[in-house]
Amino acid sequence: MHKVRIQFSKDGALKFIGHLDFLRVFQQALRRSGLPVAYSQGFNPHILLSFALPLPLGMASLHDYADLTLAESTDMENARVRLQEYAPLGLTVLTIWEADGRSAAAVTEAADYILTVKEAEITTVRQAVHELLAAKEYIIAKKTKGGIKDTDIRSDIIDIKSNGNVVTMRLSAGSGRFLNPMTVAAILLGRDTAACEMIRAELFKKEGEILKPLY
Amino acid sequence: MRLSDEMLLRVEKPGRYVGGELNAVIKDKEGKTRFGFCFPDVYEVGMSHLGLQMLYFFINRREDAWCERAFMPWPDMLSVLREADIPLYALESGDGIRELDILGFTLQYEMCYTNVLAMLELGGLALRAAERGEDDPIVCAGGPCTTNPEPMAEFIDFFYIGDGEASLDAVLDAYRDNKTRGGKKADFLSAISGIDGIYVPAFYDVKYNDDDTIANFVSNRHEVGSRVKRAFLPRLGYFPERFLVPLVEAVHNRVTLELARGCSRGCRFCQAGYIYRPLRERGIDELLAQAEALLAATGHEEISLLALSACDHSGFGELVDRLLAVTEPKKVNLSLPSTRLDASFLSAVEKTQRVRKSSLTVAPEAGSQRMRDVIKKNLTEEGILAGITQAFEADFNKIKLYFMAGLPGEEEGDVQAIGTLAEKVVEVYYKMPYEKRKKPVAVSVSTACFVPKAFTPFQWVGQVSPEAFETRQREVKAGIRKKQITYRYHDAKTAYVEGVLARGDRRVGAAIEAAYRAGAMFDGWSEHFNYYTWLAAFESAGIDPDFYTQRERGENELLPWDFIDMGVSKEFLRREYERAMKGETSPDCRTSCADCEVACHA
Repeated sequence: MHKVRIQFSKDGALKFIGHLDFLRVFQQALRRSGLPVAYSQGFNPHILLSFALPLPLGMASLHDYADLTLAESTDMENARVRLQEYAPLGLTVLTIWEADGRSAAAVTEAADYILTVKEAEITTVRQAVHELLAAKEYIIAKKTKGGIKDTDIRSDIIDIKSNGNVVTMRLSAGSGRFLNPMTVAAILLGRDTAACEMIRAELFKKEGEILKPLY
Repeated sequence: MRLSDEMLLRVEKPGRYVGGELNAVIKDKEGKTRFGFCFPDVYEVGMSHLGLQMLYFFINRREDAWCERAFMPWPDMLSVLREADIPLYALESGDGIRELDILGFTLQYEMCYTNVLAMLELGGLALRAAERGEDDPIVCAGGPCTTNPEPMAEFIDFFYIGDGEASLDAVLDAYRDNKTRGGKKADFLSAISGIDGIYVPAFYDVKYNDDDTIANFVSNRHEVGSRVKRAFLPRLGYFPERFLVPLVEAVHNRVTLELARGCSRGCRFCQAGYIYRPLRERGIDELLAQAEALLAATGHEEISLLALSACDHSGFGELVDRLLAVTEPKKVNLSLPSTRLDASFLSAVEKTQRVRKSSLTVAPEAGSQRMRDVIKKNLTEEGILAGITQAFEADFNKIKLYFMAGLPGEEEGDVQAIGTLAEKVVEVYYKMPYEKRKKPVAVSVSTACFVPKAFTPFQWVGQVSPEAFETRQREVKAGIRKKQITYRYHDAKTAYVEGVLARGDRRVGAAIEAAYRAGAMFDGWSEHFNYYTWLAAFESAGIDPDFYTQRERGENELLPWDFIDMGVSKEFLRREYERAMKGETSPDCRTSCADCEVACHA
């Protein structure tokens, strides 16, 4: 068994399908490609494929990651070209490399999101970014299973940079801590995020205390 | 595409509305006849329909035509479109459907008729054909419901009756030629009215007797014949090399192979068994090549075998063996149709290790032997129980039994026999030695409400009233005492409306429009179906639903669909009806010919 990691981007119609639909679409592309994928055991074998972190519906990603198990070793660049050839519209396969060890999902600790704001909102947002970063804590009412609970989200905001109408937010993201980027966008915009344009740019793992992109 | 991200994110499953599926065909629209395949139900249902996949690629194989798709938007998207004043658009180009040349609706079941009207209106078209102009697309309809097209006649420019592949090229040629000549819509309709399968309702007038039956049905044009012959393909040929692969999960995400069209059994309640005659099989080599090509082109992990009675395919055993040799190494699941538990099916099941052995479906259709003889479902109780015993021994533990209630000549005892048969199935399980009974047995019984259809031996019979259906459902329920059996039944009120639409005449169109105007849509979905909307619509249109449902038609009555030549003769259907009423069966076509007058040896 050979574990590989795939770096890809996702856009277009694929933005509008949920996590499980995307998983199925990705598996179909793998089947079409004829790559030597490995299957799970049991009555209903499936391709051993898992994603680092699900994307919210409607959001494109620039650098996303999946783990795949192959039954035999194969040239990584050939595999990338082959998978790209059979990929659905909107899926770009960027890199594939051999990656043993902890899964992408397990190592992911943070994500970068790029929020594009309207011209008229630039000043408000810049001010809000400044205030948010200056604050020691930021309490919001968060819905949990046990009801509504006050939660401090400040520690999950790693950084926010605003540059013109582009706001880059680095937030906790992963199986441990996760801060919904829409929550932060709503705070910055001071409104609901219905017509909010946001993409996920990168996922990060921790090496010591330093955050590094998964690839 | 004209929807913003924000609009798309306001609805559940936005992936239904964005197109971009694998194998979708995008063409330059210049110089093409633009055909809109309109499926009057939600995306996931339409995308699971083999007819859509076939005709989409059949039309798109032509260089002079572009086939696109539109589906009925779910009510949440309907509101978004209406609020933003965005017309229903084709998924490929994003253009409003009114910009296309021909819109083709598929009428798979009567309860989608209001959705057809909704889609026309969402597209910015007038509902009635007579109110649409030269700038509007031609609206046509095909599919099994066109065997009685009359209730939809006012809304449709032409119906296409019969095998899609048989005459569609001739229709598209005629459209192109008419356009080149600068002809009008009426010229095109006139040009195609002589093609097999084409019915232009505006070219025919109906007169009624005082008792509301049809007095005559005649063409109002000298060049148009009085009868419409179905489009017929003597040998199945074309099959797509690709399928569209939806991004959102469809009802079925799989490769479907069409093993055969038609059926030799002739069960008397089954419309498909008569209108698709004769039985036409595809060859094993051909099916195998299609399976390999389609798996490669889609990446699906399941293949299903489609036919009215798939196990009847003359090479079924060999086909399954050879398909398994293809699917097993690819970890593809072969889904076996299981409504007949005969030897060929059970042996195929034994060979497919990858079939999860849990649930099997059997359709005895009627509880008593007498009723099974009336409907000509050639199954005996011993045969059913023997098949189920084998299934239990092969580790199946859940059995689904499908029945119909309200069959012609049905008596109380026949209905009670449904529960009795289900109890015998449970008893068969407990007759097995204890070691064999690893999992608890579960039998689920379901009864559909029998709705008589055109071109079947039961086309003359009165349908059971909703109250009588409900009484029968209570009787079945009362007859089931074992806790291993669960019972479900179809809605009697839906069956009543379906009955009117199935055997209605042209006057029923006004009721369909009235129901739509009063908010009826998605009538096939129980959460959307409103019986009282329909009752009010019948009343406002001056229609007595009982006239169409409960009335027994006379032998010599002119039926609304009599002008169609579907291959089978009315005399043959009448003979079968009379045999049914005497409880007599008739042979399977493969055993001996019952003289239905379909030219199957031509």
